[in-house]
Amino acid sequence: MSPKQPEFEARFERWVARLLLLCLAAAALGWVPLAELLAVSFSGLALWSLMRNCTARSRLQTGMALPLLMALSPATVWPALWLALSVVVLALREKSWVARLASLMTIVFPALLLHASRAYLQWLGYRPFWAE
Amino acid sequence: MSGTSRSHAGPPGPPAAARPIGQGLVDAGLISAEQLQEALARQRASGSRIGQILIAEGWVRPLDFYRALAAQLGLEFVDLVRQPPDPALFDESRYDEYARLQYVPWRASGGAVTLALAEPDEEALKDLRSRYGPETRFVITSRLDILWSIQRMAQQRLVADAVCRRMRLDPEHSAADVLTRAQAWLFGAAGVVLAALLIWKPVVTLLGLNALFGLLLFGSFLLRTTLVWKGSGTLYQAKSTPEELAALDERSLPVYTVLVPLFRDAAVVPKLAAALRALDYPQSKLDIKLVLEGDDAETIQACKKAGMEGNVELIVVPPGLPRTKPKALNYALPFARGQLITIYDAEDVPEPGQLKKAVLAFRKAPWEVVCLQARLNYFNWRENWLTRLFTLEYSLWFDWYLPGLEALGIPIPLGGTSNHFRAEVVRAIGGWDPFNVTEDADLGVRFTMSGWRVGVLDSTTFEEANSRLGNWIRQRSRWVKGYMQTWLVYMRNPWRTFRRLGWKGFLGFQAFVGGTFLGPLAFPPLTAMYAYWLLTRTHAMDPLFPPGVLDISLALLLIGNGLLIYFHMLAGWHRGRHLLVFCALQLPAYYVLMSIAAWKALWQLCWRPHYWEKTEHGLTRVEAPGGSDVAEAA
Repeated sequence: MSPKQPEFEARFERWVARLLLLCLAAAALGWVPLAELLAVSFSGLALWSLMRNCTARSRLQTGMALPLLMALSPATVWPALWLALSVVVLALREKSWVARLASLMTIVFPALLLHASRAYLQWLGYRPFWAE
Repeated sequence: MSGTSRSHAGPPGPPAAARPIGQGLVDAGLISAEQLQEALARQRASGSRIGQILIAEGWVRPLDFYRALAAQLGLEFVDLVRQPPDPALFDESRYDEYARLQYVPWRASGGAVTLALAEPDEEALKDLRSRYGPETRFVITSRLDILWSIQRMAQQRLVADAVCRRMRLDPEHSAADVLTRAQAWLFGAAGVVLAALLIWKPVVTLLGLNALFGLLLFGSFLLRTTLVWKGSGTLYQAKSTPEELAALDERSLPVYTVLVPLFRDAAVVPKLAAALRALDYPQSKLDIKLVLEGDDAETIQACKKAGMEGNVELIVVPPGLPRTKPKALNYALPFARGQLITIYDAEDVPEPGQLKKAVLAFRKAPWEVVCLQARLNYFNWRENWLTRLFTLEYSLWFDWYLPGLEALGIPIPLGGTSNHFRAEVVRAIGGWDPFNVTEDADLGVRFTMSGWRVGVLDSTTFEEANSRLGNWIRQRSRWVKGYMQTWLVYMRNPWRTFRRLGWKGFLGFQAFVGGTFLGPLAFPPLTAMYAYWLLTRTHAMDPLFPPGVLDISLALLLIGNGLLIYFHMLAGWHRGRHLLVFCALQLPAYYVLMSIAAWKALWQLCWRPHYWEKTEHGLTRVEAPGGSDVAEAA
């Protein structure tokens, strides 16, 4: 790693984080097309970063991107599927089956959590404001 | 005794035969010519004195070296064990100075004082003459003799300072009292008011309490999420490159003191010796102090038999209360010769390059960074369920949370080992609080309160994870008790703490230090309520969970707990321990243990606040990793 590289990575991480914040803000304001665009951009950059150097942050971002795309709107389901396939391919590059499964788990767990939470709330018959 | 026939009158002049000391040692048959050549090569690389190199490597006995040095300088050599200093000349209150300048007043005659010293360089001699007058005479002794003499003659003062110095400097922030009078009144009054409210308006009061707990736990969860996000950033994950480390000039490296407090740790001493030997730092610039308890004969014997190098010195703390690690560290602090100090525990296996990384990190950091906390992790993580979950917890804490705290400027509660300090700052703030059972967490907060900063070092020390449940509960209850002490100490004057830490630091302190014990304490009642509701579907608790409170509670239950499990998974993955990713799913069971420990801690805080629950080490069946394995795993 060259001495300059961490600074570049840090700048890059800041920009990706801003994209996520903007996306959440757009979704909260009801600007769905903009939110979709920002979510897809965020997911793409997170995945690119993960494939490039597999930093701690990029794995976290990719893990967050998947439920974001799945929850945002029906239009982002396809990018979500594409992202899910990509992370499967990425996981297959690991050396053992434990590592492959673990890699997959560290990315798809938030999406599983989202689905499990929704299912549980449905079972309870209660929908809090944050699950609307 | 060698050298007794020599005169000790007058200052040292040039020796009769101006022969280098190394050659003198070869001629005397004390070292071989090859050893001398090797020592000279190391001297060129490190800039250390030849004597320091020879002693540190164990090639010459300190006593032999100092005898030869005395002969070379034309001075008398004295063995302070056989010819102890005159007690009338020894001023207890100046032990700091004696230890720093490596001398003790030995004899007096004809109005002139004779000083026994171990580092007779020009600067020291000039300094000492300015203190004792131009007629001052000198004799040579060994550093160990000086250390032994100071410990023996200033023992009472050393113990008193180890226990009381911190309290004298800053009584408000000493944990000697669990509660101040004002706090006792406040908590008492709050208890009475709460009891009255529970009788008068039970539902509303319980609803208020429920909402308050929900908000506090939600705040703690939000902070932890932010910490993970921030802490995972590249700048906080990797701070030095291999190229930068390779370019470090050993001549520019400072003397580094390594303090290792030991108590009933005889079993791990051989492993400790191997770990210290593996440190990639010039031996001649290492000042290793094993800090032992006076009545722990077994560990003292084990250390003497371990055959450690000449740069390892034993400091024996007289038995007495409080018997705590911070008291032992305070006792050893005056003897630390390094500009930088670090602390390792008996079972620690630090990454060999950690000290060099710390030097580099201090150089790159702003001046106000006075302490660096290295990451801690466990080498026996595979051993059983407990060690796996413990390792996951540590991975998240040290690899992600602490860098996150650093990024946000929130006080970092230090871990008990592998903290690296600028020595003068630790001395200036009076060392560690001997009454706080997590003196490390207290010190981290105190640094920030004093305007200094704590950073995180991208180097790992591997420890032995507690593999037995009872031992784990003892250790964890001490930690939680210490966090409670620390919180109480800094909440004695919340306004002052707020002003010194700023709003971000203050809220972070509440959520991170307060949240660490509040969460486990709240876990049993909240879980019991939830389980009761789930099984009975009763409507009796409906008034306690109106929509807003229920929303927060559900968010905490589902998203909060789920994301915490996820963060642990990521931390396990990031450490390259893939199996741990699946173990993270078992965290709720681990929370039960944390809760038991937290309630035990609360009980102890009331009845035995300063009792130090000793953690047994050396219980693992897993072999500690060697130097190269550690470097790879770190």
